Amino acid sequence: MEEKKCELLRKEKIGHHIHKLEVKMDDAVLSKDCGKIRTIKWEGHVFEHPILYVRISKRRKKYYLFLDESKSECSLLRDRFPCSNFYLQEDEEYVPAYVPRNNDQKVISFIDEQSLFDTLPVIDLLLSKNIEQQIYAAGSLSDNKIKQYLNRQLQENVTYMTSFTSTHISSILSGQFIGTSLSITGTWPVVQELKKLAVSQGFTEEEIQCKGVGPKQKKVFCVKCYSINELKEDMNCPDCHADLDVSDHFSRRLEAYLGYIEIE
Amino acid sequence: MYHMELTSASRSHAIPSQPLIDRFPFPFKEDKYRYSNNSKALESPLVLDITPEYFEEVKSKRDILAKTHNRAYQALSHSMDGQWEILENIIEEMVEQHPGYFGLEKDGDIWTFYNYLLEEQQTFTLGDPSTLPYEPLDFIGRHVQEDLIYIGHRNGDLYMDAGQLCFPANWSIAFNLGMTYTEFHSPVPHYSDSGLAEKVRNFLLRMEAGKPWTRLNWTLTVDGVLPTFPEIFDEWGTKANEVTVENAGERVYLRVEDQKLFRLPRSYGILFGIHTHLISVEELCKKQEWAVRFCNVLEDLPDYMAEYKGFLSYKPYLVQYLKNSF
Ligand code: HEM
Repeated sequence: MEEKKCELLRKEKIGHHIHKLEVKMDDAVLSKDCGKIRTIKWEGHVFEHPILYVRISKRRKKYYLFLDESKSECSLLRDRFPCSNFYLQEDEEYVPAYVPRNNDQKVISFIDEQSLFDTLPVIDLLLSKNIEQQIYAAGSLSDNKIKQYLNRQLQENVTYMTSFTSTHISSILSGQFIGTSLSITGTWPVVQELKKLAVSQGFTEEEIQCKGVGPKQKKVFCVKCYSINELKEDMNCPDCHADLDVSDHFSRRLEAYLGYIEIE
Repeated sequence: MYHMELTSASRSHAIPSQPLIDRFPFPFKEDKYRYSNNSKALESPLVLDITPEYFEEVKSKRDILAKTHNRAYQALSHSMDGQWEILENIIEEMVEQHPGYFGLEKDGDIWTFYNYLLEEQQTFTLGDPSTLPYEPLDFIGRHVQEDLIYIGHRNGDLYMDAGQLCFPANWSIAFNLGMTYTEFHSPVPHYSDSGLAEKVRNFLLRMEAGKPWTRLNWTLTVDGVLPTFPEIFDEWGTKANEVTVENAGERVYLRVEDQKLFRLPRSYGILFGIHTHLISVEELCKKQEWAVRFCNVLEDLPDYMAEYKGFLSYKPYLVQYLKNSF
């Protein structure tokens, strides 16, 4: 993937470890509305920690970059950065937390501390497209600085909750109009739970976008007792102890593969 | 007015009993069987087929529903309109085609349904599920021999939205609920990758009201067990190991599903009815041309199909039994 040159216009620290940079591309533009940068290079330095981008002006080739330096032992950013010109290399595999659809009027996002970083460029993207947004954040967002940033960006459209309870989520979802989409991010089990709730409230697959973090362990539905457990080798149901022959038959509703009873 | 007095005399309307061999829907039209779109236009557009096994099978269904309800009945909440449409269609058919067995009294939306065969009656308000003891599909399914599946037609696709399924050929509605047509057929070998599934799906998507279709599907079941749920495979699946050349005639049954497909004009879903018929191989051999044809079909059948249908292990014994019979 080619390296593309850009110029730094502005830099702001928006969280304890998160920087937001405004950049202008020199010649070549970045390929998507919202994506990921694999590396930033300048004067022989390479920064490889998570960097997300969002396009804010196509004509003026302007983008915001979000950098998380929490995992970087040498604080390259603090010490040597910024210099005015550097090179970006994109990560093509990245799937954004949310990709707006043509007819989106409103997007409700469920996030947690772990998926917060992936949500940051999406917030700017939706703002730039004038799509109404409402964010529900679960868990203790320990970083007060980022909370202030979210409040500034979203005004009253962000709600903090200790956890997502099904009654509360159902009441949020039940009052929505057509044209409202959902963005669900967080750890896979929570994402799967929320998605199930949304489907039961009448949201279609097209109206829901999910992005889980962490491993998505393959689950098996035991046809004998209907419990759902993680796939193991020589699968034996932890609940009813039936030996299971795990098939490729998959249910999106249950997010699990069918385990048939195995007999001698 | 369809109403007839509910008297015990009505019950003695015995269901006419023809020997099984004279009414069994033998599925083989040639000496070879492969998957194909074998659907045909249904001549008389009727959901129900009432056979002498009615009492026994309805009792068996109700026992299963009472003991293991979620194994045999599943429905998504948005299936309710389709469920009412199915109930109305079936009751209308019952009283028009079988006035000796069923009756109906209408007072606006308040219906009183009579089942003279079982000496039962139920008054309910159309469209109000709280006036029935079960959901509409679950209620009407308890008065017929057929398993009834409601397929929703949404977003240009077909979804398994509800079903009462007491006599499955080794598939689970608890697992399949909510799947698309393509998803719930995915275990069928070479059905999707041959392009047949896609062709049949397009045919179903275009199905019109008033033009129902029918097809026969078949498999084999040991000891004539109707409720071959995958949930209790450990109870019936082991029987396959007990089949020998000597006992194949008695123990192996040809299992034929008479499947019927109806477009429901109001909900725009599809009703898929399955009437399962069983005949022992011994009985079937009373018609020699059937025994010969069945034997030829089995000998020609690819192993992947025998494996999927669950009789690969005893197929040689069955073939030998059939050969010995003619
Ligand atoms: C919308 C109505 C239909 C429903 C609900 C339905 C449902 C099913 C289900 C649940 C299975 C069992 C799959 C498993 O092993 O888990 C099956 C098998 C099958 N279906 Fe369908 N089906 C429908 C229509 C059709 C049609 C019109 C065809 C026409 C070709 C067809 C062809 C087959 C075949 C070939 C099998 C394999 C059966 C065997 O070898 O025993 N289905 N179907």
